[in-house]
Amino acid sequence: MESFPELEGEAWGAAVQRALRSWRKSSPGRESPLDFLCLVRQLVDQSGLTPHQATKRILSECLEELESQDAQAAEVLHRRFVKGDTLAKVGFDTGLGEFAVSRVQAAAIDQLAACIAARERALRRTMARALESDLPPPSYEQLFGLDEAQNQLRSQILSPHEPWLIAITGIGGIGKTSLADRVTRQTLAACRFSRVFWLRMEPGGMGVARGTPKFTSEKLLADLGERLGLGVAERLTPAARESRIRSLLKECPTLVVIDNLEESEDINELLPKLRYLADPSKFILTTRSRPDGQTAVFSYTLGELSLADAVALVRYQARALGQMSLAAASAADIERIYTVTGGNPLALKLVVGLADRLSLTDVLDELARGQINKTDQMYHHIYERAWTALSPDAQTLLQAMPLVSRSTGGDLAQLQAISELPAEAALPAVDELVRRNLLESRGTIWERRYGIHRLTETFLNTVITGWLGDAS
Amino acid sequence: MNPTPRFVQSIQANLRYWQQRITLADPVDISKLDREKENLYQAVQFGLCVASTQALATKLALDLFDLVDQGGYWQDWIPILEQAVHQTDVVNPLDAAKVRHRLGQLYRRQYRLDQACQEHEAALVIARQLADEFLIAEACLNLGLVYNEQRNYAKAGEMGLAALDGFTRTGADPYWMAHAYTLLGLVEQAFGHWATSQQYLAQTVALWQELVHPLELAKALLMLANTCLYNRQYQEAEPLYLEAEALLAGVHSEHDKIHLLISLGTLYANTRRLLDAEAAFRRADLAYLEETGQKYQLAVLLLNLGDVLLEQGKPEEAEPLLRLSLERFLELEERFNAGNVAGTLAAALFAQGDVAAARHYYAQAIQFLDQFPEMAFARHLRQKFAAALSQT
Repeated sequence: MESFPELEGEAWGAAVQRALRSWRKSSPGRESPLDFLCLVRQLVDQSGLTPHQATKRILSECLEELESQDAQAAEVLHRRFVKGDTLAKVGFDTGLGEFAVSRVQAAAIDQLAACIAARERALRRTMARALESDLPPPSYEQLFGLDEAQNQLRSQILSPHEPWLIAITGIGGIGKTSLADRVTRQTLAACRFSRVFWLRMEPGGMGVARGTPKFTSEKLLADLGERLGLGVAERLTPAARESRIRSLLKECPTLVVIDNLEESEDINELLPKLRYLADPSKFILTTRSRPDGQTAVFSYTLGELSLADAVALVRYQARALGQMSLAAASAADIERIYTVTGGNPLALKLVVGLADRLSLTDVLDELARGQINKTDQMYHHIYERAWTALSPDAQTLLQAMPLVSRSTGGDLAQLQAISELPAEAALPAVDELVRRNLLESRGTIWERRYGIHRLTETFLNTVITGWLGDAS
Repeated sequence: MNPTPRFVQSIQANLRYWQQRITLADPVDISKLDREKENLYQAVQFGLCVASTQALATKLALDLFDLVDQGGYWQDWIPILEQAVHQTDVVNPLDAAKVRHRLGQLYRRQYRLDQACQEHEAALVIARQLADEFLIAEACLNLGLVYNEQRNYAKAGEMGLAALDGFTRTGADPYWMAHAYTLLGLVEQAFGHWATSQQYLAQTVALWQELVHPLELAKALLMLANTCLYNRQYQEAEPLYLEAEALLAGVHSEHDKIHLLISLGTLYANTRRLLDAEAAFRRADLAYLEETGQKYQLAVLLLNLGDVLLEQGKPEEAEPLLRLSLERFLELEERFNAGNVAGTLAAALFAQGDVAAARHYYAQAIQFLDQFPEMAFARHLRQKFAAALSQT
C-alpha cells in the first residue's frame, strides 16, 4: 500500500484539529488547513465550493461516520466545534467532567483524522488508477536497487516548487525508462498532478530526414497538443499553439514524461522550451546525455546495481524463468555474473535468460575472455550468446524484427508474416523472446504489439542480418 | 551492406504481408491503415535497398500512394520515390513511368512545379517509347495539372483535352475521365468561362457520385463551388461547400479540409460575413501546413486571413500575416499571388499611417501583376492597387 506521510502522525492530527476549530469562525476566508487533500480539491472543482466550505462538508460526513462507531466521541466533537460549547459545559452536561472530556476529545480527533485519511487514501488510489490507465504498461515486474533513486526523484517530483525539469540519465539498458515509470506511478497517488502524459521519442522511421533538434521539439509540441485535445482552431500558428499548450499546462498541473531522448542536441534544444511550459506542471526526461547546465534541471544519473541488488535481481529473474538452480545459487556464484556484466540490469537479465540452455561457466568464461571494457562490447557478447541459445523459430523471428517500427511495434500477424513461421510456432517464439528479454511487449490487454530494444536492433543489424555490416 | 538471405526473405515476406493488407483494405478508405504508416514506410525503405525486393517494394509504394497523399506524408515519401525511380528506370520502364507520375504528384503537392514537370515529361517519353496510349494520356493529365498550377492555362487546356481523348479511346476507367474533366473545369475556371467550367465539373461530380468516392466527390464539389464563388453565385456556392465539408468530415485528408475552409472563408468574406470568414480561416490547421511543408497553401491561408482582418479594421493584426504570406509566395516565385499580397499589405500599412511603405508595396504589387495581362483577376487587382497608389 502507498505511504502518505502527510496523512499520518501528529501534524496530520493537528491539521484536522485546526480544520475543526475553523468551523465556527465568523470570517474563515476561503482557505482551509486541509486544502492539500484531494477530497477538498475534488469538491471545490466539482461543486464550486470554497476550500473552507468543502472542508466543512467532509468533516460533517466523517462526524456522521464516527457517530455510527462511537456516539460519545462524535457528540463531544459536535458540541465542542460545531456548537462551540466550552470543555467545562460539555463536561458538566455529559457528566464526564472537564478533564475526561478533554481526553475523549483528543481521542475523537484521532478517530476523525483516521476516518478522513481512509477516505483520502481511497480517493487517491482511485484517481491514481485512472491516471495510470494513461501510461503504457510497465516493462518490469519488480525493480532492484532503485529505492534511493525513487525516494530522491519522488520528493523532487512532488515538490510544489522547483525543479520543474527532472532528467534521469544513464547508459543504455541501465533502467531509465523503468525508473521513470515507477516514480511516475508512485507520484500519481499523491494527488500532485491532475494529468499524466507519457511521450516516447523514437528516432528513425518517417521524418528521419528531418531528425533535427528543431524537428524533435516540434514533434514534442505536436504530441503534447494532441494529448491536450487542442482543436485546429487553437493551432493556428506554432507560437499560438505553444502558448495554448502552456496555458493548459498552467491551468491543470500535469506530469509529462518524455522517454528516450537520444541526442544531447535534442535535449539542450528542448530544455528552454520545456521550462517555458512548466510550473506547476513538471517534465521528467530519460536520456543518455546529461543536460548541458544552461537550463535548471534536476539531473539524476542512474548507475550500475550494487552486488547485493544484482544478486537479488538475478535470483528474482531466475525464479521467474523457472531456473531454480540459479535462483538458489550462492551469492559468490552470482557475483561471477556481476563481475562480467558490471551490474547493468538489462545485461544481467539477458545472461539469466541464457542460463537454462547454456552452461553459465561457459557463458561467463567467454565473456570474460573477451576482456570487455566497454558497455557496447559487453552487450555485443551477451547478445551473441543469447542468440545462439535461442530456438531456431525464435531466431527466425528475432532476425526479422528490425523490419518492425520501434516506435509503434508490430502485431502478432505481422510478426508471423515476417518470420514465415506457422501460426502454431509463432506464438511460442514470441513467448520465448519475451521471456528472454529480447522482445518488448507493449499495448493493452486487448491489443498486444511487439518491438525490440534499440540495443537489440543494433546487434541484429550489425551481426545477424548483415544490414549494417557483413553478416556472419 | 550485405544482408543475409534469411533477412532478405523476411524483407520479401514483410512486403507481401503489407501488399496483401493493402489489397484487402477498402480503397475508398485506405486511411484505416494510417496507424501502420511507420511499418509501411519501413517495409518499402528496406525493400528498396535490396535488388531482389525492389520490384515488390516499388509496387507497394505505388499502391500506398493514396494513403501517403491523403495523409500529407509527402515530405517523407519524396526521397523514397526518388530512390524507386532511380532503381526502376532501367529494369522496368512501365513501373518507372508510374513511379515518376506519383513522384511528380508529390512534387506538385509541395509546389516544386519544375521538378513535377520534369518527372511527368520523363514519364511521357517512356510512354511514347512503349507506345502506351493510356500512359500517354496519364502523362498529359499530370502535365496539364502542373501547367494549371503554373498558370499556363492554354497549355493546361491542351493537355486536358489530349488526356480526355486518350482516356476515351483506351476505354479508361471513369476514375481517369473524372480527373480529366476536373482539369478542364479548372482551366475554364481560370479563363473565367464559368458555364463551361461548371459543365465539366458537374460531369466530374456525377462520375464520383457513380464511383461512390467521398473524398474525390468532396474535392469535385469544392471546385464546382469555387467556380460559383468566382462567378459571384454565392447562394449556389454555399450549399456545395457545406456538402463537401460534410463529406470531408468522414475522411482522412487534412489538406483537403484546409482547402475547403479557405474557400468557404473566401465565400463568407465576399458576402461580407467577416466574422464567419475569420472563423473559417482560423479553423484551418496552419501548423499542419507548416509541418508538412505546404508553403503554397500556407501562404494562401495567411493572405486570406490577413485580408479579412484588414477588412474588419484590424490592420495591425493583418500586417504580420501578410508579410509572412508575401515571404512564402516570393520563396515559391509565385508572382501573381505575391502581387495580390503586396497590394493587400500596402493597404494594411496605409491604414496604419505608414504611407511610404504602402507606396513601396503598391508599386511592387503592380510590377508583379503586370506579368499576367491575360488573367482577368490580375487585371482587376492591378487596377485596384493603381488607384489606391494614386490616392496615397
